[in-house]
Amino acid sequence: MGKSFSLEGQSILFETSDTVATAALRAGIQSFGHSQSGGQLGVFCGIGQCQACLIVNHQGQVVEACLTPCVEGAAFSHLMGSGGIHV
Amino acid sequence: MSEAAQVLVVGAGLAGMSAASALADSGISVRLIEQAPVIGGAVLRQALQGTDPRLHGPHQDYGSRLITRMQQQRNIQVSRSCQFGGVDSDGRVLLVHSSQGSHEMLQPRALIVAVGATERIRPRPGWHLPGVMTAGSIQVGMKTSLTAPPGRIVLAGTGPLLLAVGAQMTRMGAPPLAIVEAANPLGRWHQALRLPFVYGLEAADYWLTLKRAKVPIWMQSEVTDIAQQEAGLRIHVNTPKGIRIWDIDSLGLHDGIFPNDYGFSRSDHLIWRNAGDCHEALGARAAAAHGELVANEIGALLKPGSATVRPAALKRLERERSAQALLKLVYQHDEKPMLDQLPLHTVICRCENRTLGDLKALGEQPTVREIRLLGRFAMGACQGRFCGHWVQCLSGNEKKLSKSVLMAAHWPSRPLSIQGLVTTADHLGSNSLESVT
Amino acid sequence: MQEFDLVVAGAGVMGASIAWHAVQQGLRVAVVDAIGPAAAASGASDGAVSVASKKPGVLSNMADTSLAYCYELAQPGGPLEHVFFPRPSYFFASDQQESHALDELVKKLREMNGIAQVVSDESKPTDFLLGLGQSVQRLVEIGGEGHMLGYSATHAYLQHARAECFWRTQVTSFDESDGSILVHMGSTSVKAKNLMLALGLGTGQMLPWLPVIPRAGQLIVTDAGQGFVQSLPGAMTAASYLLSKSRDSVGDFPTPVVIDPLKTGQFLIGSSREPHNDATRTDLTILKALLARAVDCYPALKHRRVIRVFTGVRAAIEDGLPVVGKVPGHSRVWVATGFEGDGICLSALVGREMAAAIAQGTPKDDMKDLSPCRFELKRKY
Repeated sequence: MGKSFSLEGQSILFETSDTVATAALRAGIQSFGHSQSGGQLGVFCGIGQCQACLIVNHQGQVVEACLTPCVEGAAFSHLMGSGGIHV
Repeated sequence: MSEAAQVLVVGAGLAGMSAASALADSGISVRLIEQAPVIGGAVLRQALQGTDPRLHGPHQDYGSRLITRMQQQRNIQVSRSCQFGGVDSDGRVLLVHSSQGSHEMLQPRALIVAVGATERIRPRPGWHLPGVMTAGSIQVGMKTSLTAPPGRIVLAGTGPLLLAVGAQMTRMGAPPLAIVEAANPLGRWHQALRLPFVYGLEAADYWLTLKRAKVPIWMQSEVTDIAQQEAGLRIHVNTPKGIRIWDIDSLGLHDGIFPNDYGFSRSDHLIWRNAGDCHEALGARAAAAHGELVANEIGALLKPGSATVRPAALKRLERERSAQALLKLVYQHDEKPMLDQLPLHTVICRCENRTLGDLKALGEQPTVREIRLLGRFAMGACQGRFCGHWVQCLSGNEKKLSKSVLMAAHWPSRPLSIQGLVTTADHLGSNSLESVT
Repeated sequence: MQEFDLVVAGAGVMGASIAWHAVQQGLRVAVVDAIGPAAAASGASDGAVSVASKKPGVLSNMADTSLAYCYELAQPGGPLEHVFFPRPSYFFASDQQESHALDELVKKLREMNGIAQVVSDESKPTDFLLGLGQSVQRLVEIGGEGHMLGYSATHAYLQHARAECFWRTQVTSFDESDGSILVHMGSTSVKAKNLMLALGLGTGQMLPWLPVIPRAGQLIVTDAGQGFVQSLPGAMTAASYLLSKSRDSVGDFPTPVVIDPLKTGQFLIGSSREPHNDATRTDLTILKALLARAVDCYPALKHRRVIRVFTGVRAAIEDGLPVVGKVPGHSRVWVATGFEGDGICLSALVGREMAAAIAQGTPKDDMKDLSPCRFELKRKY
């Protein structure tokens, strides 16, 4: 069985060299939901500059998916999603 | 390393690695940071399992030699998954370690920023939809994960990068559905012939790869609309043969490579130089040469008398400068009509979801305050990195509203977690030593 | 040559308010600015309209009158409609010194008995307001105060004024001669019956004898966080802020911090008081201190990111009071500057009073403490 993490409860397989962004794209996941301003979230620039691929990690921190290494068993959520810390 | 590094190099691409290596050669201690989990930058990015020759093209040999040389140099400390957070007025640099979520503060004597060029993306209706990304992002993804992205992909915009990415995708077994190029490079063959032989070779290589896989390359064509479908995107493409409508899964956009002019805050207490494409977008061959030259300059400032003349590097830069100028001519086209025809509902500021209509509502020649505080452009997480140039073009303000004011130097250079900031340790280079691998 | 009853130099919140009020007085008004509306401190500020934050005495009394007047101006059709909003404000203490400052604050407001009123004084703040940190030992809630973004107020006053605006134009000098002033602004000049200098720090160039000094303040902008934000109902200000206003050194009390929730879900965290005028200066040690105190008081901020830090340079006057009134040695030149961050709150009142004074030709009695004449000796020598 391959290594996996979850995003909004959906299990995603990853390879050692993957970031959350590359693993999600390979799994066909393009949308990471919306931001508070109504903007669409998802991978765009791939190098941590556009701030469109924002997700929430298991520590409740907002991070760029394209800069986030994959961790076995980690649970990420959308910015306006079900997990994270709503403050 | 028990002492703080004298020079911080941001970006372990060709320019950064070249600069780090040259500095180390002259006995200067270097801290080299790379935001990705792997070094190599846009051109060489090393997948963790090892390199894949299908992806690296003509720069592979030079790159491997550079990396091997760095491995043997004792006074370079490399930190991966480490981002540059900005410099404050007193020369304090903030670094972010994204694996741990922790921050680190340093005060090097000099800073070399070698973060590569900016990929410019022109707004198009629907470019904010999921599934639309930059061609560069597709390239980075392929080089990191060693697999091609799934589904029906179209690459659109302008520039040789479209051909490079398309060819790389093809070699990975997943050719793009089509390439849509706004310019007419074939029509400028007489200029193209004056390019250095290696350029022609590289282009021919990409071209043949694509042709063999029967990838259509549409010239003088552009994507004029992107709409969300239940599964995928529907794009409208304006071609010389009329409008084409395609159903696809992803769209990779790219409208040219430009130097990184994003407003980093500066300090009088720090010697600062930009190196490589970040300074002047001349491509891979020039990047390494420029890295060497910048290292030489900084080395001379830190250790007077240690400078050497580098005629080979200077010649290389001159050659690449001419080549890039020619390439610009080959790819020249007018993008103004495309901007003039943008519908008002086109999103311009992606972060805050602000449209062209919102910009026009600010009236004639809005001031920076009006654009930001009333219009809420460039106020989001990316602070104008992606919309700044277009707001300038589209607000009718080109002459009076300089981009440097709209995207003025500020701190931080990227969003920083407050948790990280309050727990920032004041390290003096005592972070865990990582060897170059 | 164009002629005006009043030329207002400086399109910050003060100049904009004076312009609107002057138009209400029936005057023909022009507003001139080297850049545009709210280009300096007014556009790099928070939006507190507060009596509590003012030094006791003249400024607090003016603030209360101005605050009450803001409600009037925010009525439907008024210039501050959609701009000024009532909002509770909170002042808190983490130690004895700060608690003492809160005692003084409560006393001041009770004695004033104006529109800003102490609503509650909590010794168990965490039971009272959601999300407060344990270090918040006492919380005073004040009702009646409000929120008004500096830029929005400036823009609103100007929109409603419909005065003649000259942007990207600088007033370089003026010549006064029987009954009229020739105002030189770059390549043009205009005639004015009166000239109002509301130039913030720039006033020092026109009137070099006025001791206008800079006070830079760094402000931190956060992102909007995650989910649907349940933010604070109003800004939280550390009581040490009140102490820092009366003393210039910041060494011996907890970092003064203001945590201001914005409508977008973002927070504005500020601010420092640095004796320089460099709007590009960022100081990581100061920022760290501000954020550390902010997180202590409102731990949820740990999950936010800083997306920008900006510096607003406020104009202050050496003796701590703004200068408002007729400029000595001139019969028709007026000044209104040196509000050091209190400009947004006082703009309503000062606008009204200055416009009235200009229309009638005489300065008002109740603002004589702020008259520039107190520096007349400096002017002569």
